[in-house]
Amino acid sequence: MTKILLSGIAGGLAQRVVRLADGQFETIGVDRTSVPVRIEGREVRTWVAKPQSRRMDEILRQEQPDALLLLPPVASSPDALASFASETRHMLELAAEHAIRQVLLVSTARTYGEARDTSLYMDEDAPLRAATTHPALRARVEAETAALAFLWQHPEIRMAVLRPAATTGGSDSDSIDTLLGATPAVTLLGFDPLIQLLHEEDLARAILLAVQHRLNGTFNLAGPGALPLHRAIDKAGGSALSLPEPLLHLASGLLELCGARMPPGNDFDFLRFPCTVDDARFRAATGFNHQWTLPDIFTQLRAAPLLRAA
Amino acid sequence: MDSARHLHAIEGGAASAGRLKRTEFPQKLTLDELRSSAKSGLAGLLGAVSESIDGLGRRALAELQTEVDTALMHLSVKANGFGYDAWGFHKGEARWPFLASAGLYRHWFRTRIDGLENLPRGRFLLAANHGGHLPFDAAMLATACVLEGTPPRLPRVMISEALSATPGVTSFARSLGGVPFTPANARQLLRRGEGLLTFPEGLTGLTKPASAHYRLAQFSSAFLRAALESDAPVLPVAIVGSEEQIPAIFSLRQLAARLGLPSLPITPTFPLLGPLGLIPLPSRYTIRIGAPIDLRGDAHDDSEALRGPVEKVREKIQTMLEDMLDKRQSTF
Repeated sequence: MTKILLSGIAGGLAQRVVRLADGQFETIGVDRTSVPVRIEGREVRTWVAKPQSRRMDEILRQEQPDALLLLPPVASSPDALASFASETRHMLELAAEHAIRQVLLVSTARTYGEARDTSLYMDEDAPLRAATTHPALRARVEAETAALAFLWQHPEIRMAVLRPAATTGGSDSDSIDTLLGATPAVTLLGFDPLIQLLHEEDLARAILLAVQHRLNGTFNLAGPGALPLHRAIDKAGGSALSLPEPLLHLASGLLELCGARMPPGNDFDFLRFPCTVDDARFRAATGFNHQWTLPDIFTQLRAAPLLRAA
Repeated sequence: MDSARHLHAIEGGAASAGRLKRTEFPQKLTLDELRSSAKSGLAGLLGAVSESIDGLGRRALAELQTEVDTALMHLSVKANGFGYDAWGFHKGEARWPFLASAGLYRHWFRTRIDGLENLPRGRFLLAANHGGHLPFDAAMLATACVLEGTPPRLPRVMISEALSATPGVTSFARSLGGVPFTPANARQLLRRGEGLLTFPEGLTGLTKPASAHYRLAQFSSAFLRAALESDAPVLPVAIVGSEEQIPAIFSLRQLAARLGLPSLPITPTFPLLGPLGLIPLPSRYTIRIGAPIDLRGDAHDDSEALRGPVEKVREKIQTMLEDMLDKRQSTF
C-alpha cells in the first residue's frame, strides 16, 4: 500500500484527503502543531515538526513515505504565505535526499493571475502572472517555480503540481465561501467575472487520483461549470453590494468593520476579471469527473451559513 | 451656397457623407433628383425618426417579444445547471438586451441582411468592417444571425481587450454573446464549434473620421491566425449604415483611451445633450455576408508573411462595401 505523508495535516483539505484515502493508501501527517486526526475512531499517526527543522528530516528518514503531499498553508497571514515558498523548497530538497518517489504540490489556479487580457479556460501552458500583479500570491508562484525546477532536476521523482479553481465546501476562513454567502458581499460595480467553483471533496479525490496515477507535470483542476460572480453570490444565499472602484478603495476598511465581506486577500482584480481554467489534461490522465455539481455546491453553501460567518 | 453644395453639406454633415465623395458629387440636379437626394439628408432623417417611433407601438413590441423569444428558444446553447454556457451566455439574461437590440434592428436601423445562408453549420469566423463610434454594428450583425438565421446562430462578438477593464462593457456584451478577444479565447471558441464575429480594423476602424467612411483601415492578422489554427472558414461581412449613425465632428481618442471607452465623439448633440446626445441617427443598415474565402497560410508565420491572405479578406470586404454603397438608395 502506498504510504503518503501529508504536510499540513491540520488543514481541512488534508483531513478530507486522509478520510478518502482510508483503505486505499496509508496516510501519515505532519504539521507545526499537534492536531489529532481520527477516522472512524482510529487516530491517524501525526508528527509535529516545522518544515525547515531537523526533526522533519528525522521523520522522513523514519517513515520513508512513497509520496509527499505538500498542501497550502491554512493561515493566510503574510508571514505564513511568505514562508510557504522557502518551506516548499526545503521540503523538495528533503524529498530528493530521502528518495521519495513522488511529490505533489497543491497550488491554486489563481497563480495565473486575473488581468484585462486574461483568457478564459487557460491551459497549463499559460504564464503565471500573479507574481507581478498579485503580491499575496507571490509565494504560491515561487513555490510552483521551485516545484517545476525540481521536476527537471530530478527526473527520477514524479513531481506534480495541481492548480485547482476556487475551492468551496471547506473550513478555510479565507476561502471564497466567506464572500459568496455574505450579506453584503462586496463587488465592483460594472464587473461580473465568470468564476469556477470546485468542491473540496472533489479536490481531495483529485489529489488521490494524482497519487494513484503517479502524475508528472502541471495540471489544472476546473469546477463543474462556470457562472458569473453575482449569480454565484445570489445562489449561495448572499447579496451583493456593488460599489464603484474608487469608493471601494476608500471605504474597504470601514466596510469590513461593518461586516461586509471582501474578496479573498482583498484582491479587487478577483472581482473584476475572470480566472477560469481548462482541466482537459487532468481528466485525460486520470479519468476524473466531478461528483459535486454546481447545484449541489450551492445547496451546501446555503445550508452552512454559520461556517461562512466564522 | 448653391443647392448642390447645400445638399453636399447635409450629406457630409448630418449624414456624415454617405457614399457620395466630394469629387463625385453631381453639380446639376433636376427637381426629382433633388427630392430623391433629400431622402438621404435632413428630410429623410426626420422621416426615418418618425417611421421608427411609429414602429415602436405596443403591438410592434409584442411581436418583437415573440420574435426574440422564439429565436432564443431555438438557439442551440450548451448550458450548465444554471443555464449559463461556458462563456457566460444565458438565454434568460439575453432576453432584454436582445429585445432592445431587435427593436433597433427592426425599427430604428431597419436592417436588411443577405447572405445568412453562407453561415456554415459548424465553426466559422466573420470578418466585418467597423465604424460609427459606438458598436451598434456588432449588435446588429449578432441580432441578424439570431433573429434571421435558420437555425438561429449566435456569433460570439470579440470584444477589444482595451475595453475589458471598462465597467459594464464585458457584462453587457456577454449578454449578447460577447467574449473578450484574446488569441486563446478565439482558438477555444472555434475549437468548440462556435462562430466568431471579429472586426479586424479594431478600434481604429470604429473611430475613423468622416473622410475615411467605408474605407477600410489596416487589418490586424489576429483573426486570420485564429481561423488558420482552428481550420475555420473566414466569411467577409460588409456593413453599410453604421458610419452615419453618429455624426462625429471629431473624436477625443486619447481621452477615450484613458477612460477605457471605445470612442468619445464630439457631435452636434454630444456632449451638449449629455448621454441623450449619443442616441444614434436612424441610418438604414444593410449587411451582406459573403461566401467563405479560400485562405492559405501558417498561423505561426509572422504578420508580414500573413499580409497576403489578410489583404485578400480586406479587399473582398472593400469590394462588397463599394457595391452596396453603389446600390444604396437612401442613407436614412
